[in-house]
Amino acid sequence: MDSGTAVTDAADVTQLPMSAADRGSGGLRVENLSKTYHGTNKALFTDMNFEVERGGRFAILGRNGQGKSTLIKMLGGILGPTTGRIKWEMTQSWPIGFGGGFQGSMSGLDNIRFLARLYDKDFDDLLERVDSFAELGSSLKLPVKIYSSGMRARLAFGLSLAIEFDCYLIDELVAVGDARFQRKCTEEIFEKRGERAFIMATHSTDMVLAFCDRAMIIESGTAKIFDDVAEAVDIYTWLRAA
Amino acid sequence: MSGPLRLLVFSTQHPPIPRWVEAIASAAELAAVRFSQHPSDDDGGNFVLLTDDVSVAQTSPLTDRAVLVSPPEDIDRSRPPSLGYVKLEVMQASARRAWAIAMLHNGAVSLDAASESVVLPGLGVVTPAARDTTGLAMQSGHPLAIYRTLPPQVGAEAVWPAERLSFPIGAEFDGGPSKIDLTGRPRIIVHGPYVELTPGIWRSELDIDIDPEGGVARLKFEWGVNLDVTGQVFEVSEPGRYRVQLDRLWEVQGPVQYRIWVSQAVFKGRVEVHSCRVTLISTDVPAPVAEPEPETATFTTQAVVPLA
Repeated sequence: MDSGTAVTDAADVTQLPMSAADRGSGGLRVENLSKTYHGTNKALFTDMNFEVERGGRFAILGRNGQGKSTLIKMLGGILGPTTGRIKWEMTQSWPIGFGGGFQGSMSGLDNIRFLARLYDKDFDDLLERVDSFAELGSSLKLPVKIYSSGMRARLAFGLSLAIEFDCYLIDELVAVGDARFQRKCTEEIFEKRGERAFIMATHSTDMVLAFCDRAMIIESGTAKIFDDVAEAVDIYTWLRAA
Repeated sequence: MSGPLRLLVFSTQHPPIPRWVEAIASAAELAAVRFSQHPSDDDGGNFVLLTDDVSVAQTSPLTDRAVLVSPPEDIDRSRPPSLGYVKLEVMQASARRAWAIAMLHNGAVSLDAASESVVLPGLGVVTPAARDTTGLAMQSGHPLAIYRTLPPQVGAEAVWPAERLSFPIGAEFDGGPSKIDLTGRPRIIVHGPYVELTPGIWRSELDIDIDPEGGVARLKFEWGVNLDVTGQVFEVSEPGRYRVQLDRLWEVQGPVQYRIWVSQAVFKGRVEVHSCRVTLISTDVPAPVAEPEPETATFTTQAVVPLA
C-alpha cells in the first residue's frame, strides 16, 4: 500500500525504503537539527535531538515564532535543515493543515489524480475516500488556488487520511475548519488511527494532555523533551503567561 | 542527701564515652547506688541513669539531672556525607545538644567530658581512668560547630557544605546533585539539614551560583522550621554567584530547614548550591506576646563572582 516514496526534495531528510517487509521497528530520529532562515543570523533552533517511535504521540509546544511549524515542515520534507539529520524509518504524511503542497493551477481532482499516481493508489478509490471526508463535491473540479483556506485544509486532511501513513504530521489541528470538521478530524486521527504515530505542533494544551504521551517545548532556540506531558504543559502555560 | 538519689546523666555524645561510663558506674557502685543505661532498670530507689537518648531523657521521672557535655562527635568522614544515615547522625547529634541546652537551662549540672574529673550530684568527684583524647578539634566546617559550647554563644557559627543539605530527585526525598537544572514544575529543590537550633536569632548566608540561561530565575528561599519560616522570593536575570542572607528568630528550638523553591514552572535555568553559613546573632528571645510580632527578616544579595 505504501510506496515508501518521500514527498520531499530536501537532501537531508532521509526516507528509507518502506515496503511492509522492509520496515524496521524504528520510527523517526532527529539528530543535531538546526534551522536558520536565509537573511538572518540567528538560528530558529539548534542542536535539536529527539526520537519518535512507531505509535508514539509526540507534541511540539512553543510560543508563536519559536519554530513549531518550521519543524513540522522540515519533518515533512518541505523545508530542509540547516544542519543535522532527519531520519525516517516509517512513512509520514505531509503536514496536515498545511495547504502548500498542492499545485494551485490544477483542480482538486487533478491533485488527487497526481497523488494517486505518486503513491500508487487507485484514483477512483482515492477520490471516494477523499471526498467522503472533505465533502468538497463539485468544488473538486475547481483550481485549488481559488479554494478558501478551509477548503484547502479539508482537501489536505482528506488526502492525508485517504492514504495510510505510519505517522501523521499535524500543524495546529484546531486552527482550520469549523467545529464539526475539527471533531471529524479528531475522530479520524486520534481514534480510528489510534495505533499510528503522530507529531502535533499545537497551542492546545487540552489536546496535548488528551492525546500525547511525550512533548517537546521549543523556546528561544532551545528544545527540551518531556516524558511527563503534564509537566510540559505546566511549563508551557507559564511561558505563554510570561 | 535527703531522699534517694535519682540521677539522670544525659550524654551529648552517642554512644556515651566509655571511660565516663566506667567511671560513673564505679562511683555508683562505691556509693551502693544502682547504675544502668536502661531506664527499665529503675526500681524506684537510688538510681543513676546514663543515657544519650533524647526521648528517654524527655520522659524520665528522675529528678536530679546532669549533662555530660562533649564536643560534637566526629561525623564519619570516610563516608560520603550525602548518604542519608550520615545526615541522620548530624540531625540526631544536634537534637541531643539542643535537648542538653534545655536541660541546662532548667538547672541541670553541666559536666565537661574533656576535663580530668567532674563532680556528680550525690556521687561526688568522678575521675575516669584516662583522659579522653577523642574530642574534636572543632572547626567551623563541622556541621555542629555551633555547639562548640553549650549553650552556643553569640557568634557561634558553622558552615554546612552542599553535601549536608538534601536535594530531591524525582519522587525521592534526597540523592540529587547540588548542580540543579531548574526545568520543571514548581517544587522544592533544596531542603535540610534538619539540625536543631536553639532559641535566638540565627542568620543563614547561602552561597549559590545562579544561571538563568538568558531568562529570569525566580527562586524562593526559606529559613525556619516546617511552615514557620522566613522567606523571600528572589529574581535573578544575571548569572553569577550570590549570597542570600536570611535572619530568623527561633523562639523555641527546632530542626532547621533551608529550603529553596522553584516557585513557578520554568523552562530553563541552573543553580549550584555551594554552602550555607549559620551564625547565632542574638540569644535575646522576647517574651511571648498575645499577638505575634512581624518576623525579623532581612534579605540581602550580592554578586560575588560573576560567571565567566
